[in-house]
Amino acid sequence: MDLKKAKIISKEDIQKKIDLDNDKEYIIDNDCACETDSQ
Amino acid sequence: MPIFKMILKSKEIYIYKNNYIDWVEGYLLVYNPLSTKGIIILNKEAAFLYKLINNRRTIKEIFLIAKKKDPNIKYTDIINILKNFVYSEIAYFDKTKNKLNFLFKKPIHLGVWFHLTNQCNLRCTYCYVWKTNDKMSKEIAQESIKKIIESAKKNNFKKITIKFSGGESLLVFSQLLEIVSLGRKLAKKAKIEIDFVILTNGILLTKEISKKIKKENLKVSVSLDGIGKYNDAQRIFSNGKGTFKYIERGIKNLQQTGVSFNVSITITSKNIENIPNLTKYLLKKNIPFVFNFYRENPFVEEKNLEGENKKLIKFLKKAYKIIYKNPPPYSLINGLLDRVSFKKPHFNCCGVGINYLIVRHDGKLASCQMTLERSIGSINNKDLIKTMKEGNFVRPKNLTVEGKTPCNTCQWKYICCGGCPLLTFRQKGKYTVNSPYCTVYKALIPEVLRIEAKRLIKYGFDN
Repeated sequence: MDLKKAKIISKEDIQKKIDLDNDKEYIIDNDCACETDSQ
Repeated sequence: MPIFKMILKSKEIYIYKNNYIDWVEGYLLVYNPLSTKGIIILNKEAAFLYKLINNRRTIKEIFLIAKKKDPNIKYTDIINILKNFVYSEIAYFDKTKNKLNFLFKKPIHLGVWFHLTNQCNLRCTYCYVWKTNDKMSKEIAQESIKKIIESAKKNNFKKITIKFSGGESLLVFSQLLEIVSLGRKLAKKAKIEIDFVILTNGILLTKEISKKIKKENLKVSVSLDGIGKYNDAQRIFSNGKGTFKYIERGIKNLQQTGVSFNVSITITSKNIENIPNLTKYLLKKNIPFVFNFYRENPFVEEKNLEGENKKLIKFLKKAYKIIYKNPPPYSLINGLLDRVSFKKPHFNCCGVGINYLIVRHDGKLASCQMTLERSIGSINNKDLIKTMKEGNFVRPKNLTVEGKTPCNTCQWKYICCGGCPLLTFRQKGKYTVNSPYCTVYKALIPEVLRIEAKRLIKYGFDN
């Protein structure tokens, strides 16, 4: 096993990698529902 | 202490006991529900190292085992990978900090439902609004937006989202645009960020209106509950006729004009069977969507609209399977399971009494759109945020998920928070218990995590 190939991926990496416009990312929030208390 | 300094001092590494793990397509999904980092995906080499952490081995011991597997690996390589685990909040160096602590922070984002009109061109079977011909006057609208911004400023909110609702907010579109214009002007002066979302049934989304929405940079959420007869079983005109083809036309107009929008789906016993097909339909059109479960309310005559929990699980699993097969690049995770939100760990399912306010068409205030009939004050009150806090109907006051006994030991408590408090109260007679949908949430959270994992794998690794 080549352990140097170890790699981890998170949503932060994906957001950088894929050219997503901010609007599209935003609207997947549940706009038709009440806000959560999270910031 | 910064991770770099910590690693120089630390001899050991630990994994959080809350971590949820699962294998997805040969990758290891690791999710710490107390972290803000979301799902972390490890390839097989990283997974091998992660599995070596057993809260007893030292870093040196981990290195020695790894070296047997890969004689070329250096100590610094191992350190770098472990640092990545710690940065991703799935592991930690300091033995005393065995739990990620998050505290309740004063919210800085205020959500306001701006109930522009009681009028609606539809008579959806599950609607929580008692329709009349009343609408918000120009004076009330102006005063409302002014007072909202003033009060938000006074209470240190940094951002406001105004959600135009009703009734059907597009019935009073020119007034809506006036409020947007005034709101932007006042918010700029107050140095508060403001944005606007139109909640609509989609019928009036003509090309002309769509273009204006685009020009004003407003966001839209369109309600659609199924394809053809499944939508038409619950979203109907006052003459009883179905609305599907009109909503479809509205959606097409939004897409053609490049408006940012999503589709909001209310799942009831009448459309549950169509949710997998609707999912396929929306994915094909590249339209983001959110699933909401029906919540009973006093204005609904029809009984048994709640989807049975077993049925909800069965058909949502089918829908999830479709998304899993080919996930879109954007994340759907926060809209796939009703009130479950993976964005950040939180204490309350909704912002009722905290950062969430409803302004009715007559200038009266309400705590929640589902309790419109229960006024807690009016826009004439001195401080609307104060009224919002005092008007919170949840009992005991300041109840969080920590006060919901059945939730105490649940690993998901900070992402579901016991569900909608009002629904729980209406069905169970008290707020201090878990949601009637608890079994659905528990059964489906791992499935939703797998969808997000598949997305990260598909777009994050060069397969």
